[in-house]
Amino acid sequence: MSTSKSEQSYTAQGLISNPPLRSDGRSLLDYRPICMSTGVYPQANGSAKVECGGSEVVVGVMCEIDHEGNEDHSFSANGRIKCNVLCTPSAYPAHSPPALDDLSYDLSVILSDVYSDPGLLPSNLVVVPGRKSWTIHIDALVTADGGNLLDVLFLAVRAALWNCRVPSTKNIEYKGSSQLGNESAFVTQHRTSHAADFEIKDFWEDGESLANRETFPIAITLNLLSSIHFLDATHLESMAAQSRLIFIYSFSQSTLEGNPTIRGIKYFGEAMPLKNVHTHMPNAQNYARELYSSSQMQLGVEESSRRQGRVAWR
Amino acid sequence: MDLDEDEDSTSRITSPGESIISSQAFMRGHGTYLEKDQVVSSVAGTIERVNRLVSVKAIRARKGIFCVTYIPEVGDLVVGRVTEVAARRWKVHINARQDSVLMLGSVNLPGGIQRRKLESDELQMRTFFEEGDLLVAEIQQIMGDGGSSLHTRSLKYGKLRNGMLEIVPSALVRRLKSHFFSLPCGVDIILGLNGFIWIMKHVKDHEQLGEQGFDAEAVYSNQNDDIDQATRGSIARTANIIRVLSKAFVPLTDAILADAYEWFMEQEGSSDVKSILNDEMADQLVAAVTARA
Repeated sequence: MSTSKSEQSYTAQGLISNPPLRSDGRSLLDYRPICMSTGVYPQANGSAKVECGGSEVVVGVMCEIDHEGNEDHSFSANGRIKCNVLCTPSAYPAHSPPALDDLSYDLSVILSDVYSDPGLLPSNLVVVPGRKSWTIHIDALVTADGGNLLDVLFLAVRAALWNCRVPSTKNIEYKGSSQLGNESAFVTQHRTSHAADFEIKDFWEDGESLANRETFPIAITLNLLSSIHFLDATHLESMAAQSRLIFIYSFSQSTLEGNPTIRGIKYFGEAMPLKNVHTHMPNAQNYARELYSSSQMQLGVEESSRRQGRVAWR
Repeated sequence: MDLDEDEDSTSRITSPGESIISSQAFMRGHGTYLEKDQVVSSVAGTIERVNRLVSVKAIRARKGIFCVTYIPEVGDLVVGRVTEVAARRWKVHINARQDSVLMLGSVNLPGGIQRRKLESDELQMRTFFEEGDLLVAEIQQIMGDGGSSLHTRSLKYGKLRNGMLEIVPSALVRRLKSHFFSLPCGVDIILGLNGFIWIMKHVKDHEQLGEQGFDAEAVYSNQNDDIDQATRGSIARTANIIRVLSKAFVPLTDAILADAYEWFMEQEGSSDVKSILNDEMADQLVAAVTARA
């Protein structure tokens, strides 16, 4: 979206004035109200919609079985996470289709880079050890962009993964025609390792949630302008900012008090001494922690209300 | 609902799925579709009829930054954004289905209002307006294909600076006696009929005219004047009020905005600009304003 020079300088002046005044009266560290809902697509294994200011991202998570010797020889015994981001033309009416593709691709790469870390892979994606596993497809749809898209995107993906239920399976095996006593005894002893296939358990719950799902990362974008930094920039504000510094953190219950794990740092904009990254890091960590705990609270509320709803429905 | 031929149809309201008229005698326009010989509305809005073309003008278009509902009419005052500089013309986004055209011949150029346009003017069009610039203009003409052309041949029109833009659904801006007005707090507002609202620092009348009625430097400048903290606060407050009112779908007029601002300043915590955005306060504001109107 284009902006005029006078708008940009008006915004920048407001941000660096003392006390700073943003166009909607927020303080530099205020987020616009975030609206988060999970389970928006009943057909998906997990889904979420997050709105923040003018930005809106919808994410669907689908689990698919991947098997040894698949078409592109990309099978991983422990499962995989694949990410794809699509920016809709309605979010960017001024963009041409190729520009839209580029934008979608850039966002997909950032998301995939972070989620391709094996450390983030949930441990419960194995179906038949060594042969079959779940591939998690994350499909994010950007339906509106009002600035600060990356933070919203990561929040939405995290909420959808939190909401995701992997279907419970049980392994089955085929007994060979050789009914030799010794061998069959051997088979029963190592049931799982010889399992040939699986079936979906007929279970009233949708499945189990992803293991260590609280570690899925949160992104926090620091917009830098002269000596100040501010969060949750609108379009105009991000144009006014000189540079953006993005930290991607992962938390877990045990590290909530201590230091989170860093999953990625991205920087766009004017050249900056490296030591500035260090000075911004503790701040970013605190903002990310706040965002983590408030989103976690919301996810908890959503989940318990759904559980109650399901009990009532039964 | 059937449209009578002789009845004035412009004020008829329809909702999605409602059949409007037989398609044998009428053609379907925007906001309608055909179903079993009937022209059926696909949006909620008012029925518009031009000869045998029936269309529905949506009250509220899809959610998002761009609520494309505005249909230009000659004489409308609009606020637009330049999207393209082309040969002897600028393309201006005015929230309509097509970008509007501003011809080089329809703007005031430096060096006297009556002078001829020269080739050198064509070569330096970006010094007047460039991509992204906001301007206030009047619709001069509607083309046959639904496009429109603008002009800025008045000292009140031209490039916008010293403030910020707020976008509301265009249905909320009604035709008023004047779309330029100032609030007592030192803020000028330009209510574009296309739903673009420019909120800026108050310009004193004698400054606006400049020397000999036209100061080219100032008219096409990209530099903002010095804006003090109090004015900045007032601008932000006005913008937030407009945001709240448009969310509640309250039509915006000069009186309503002045009332709303006055009400807000009477409240406790009005020094905190963003306090109006919390739901409770927003509801109170809407209730207070609609009760007074």
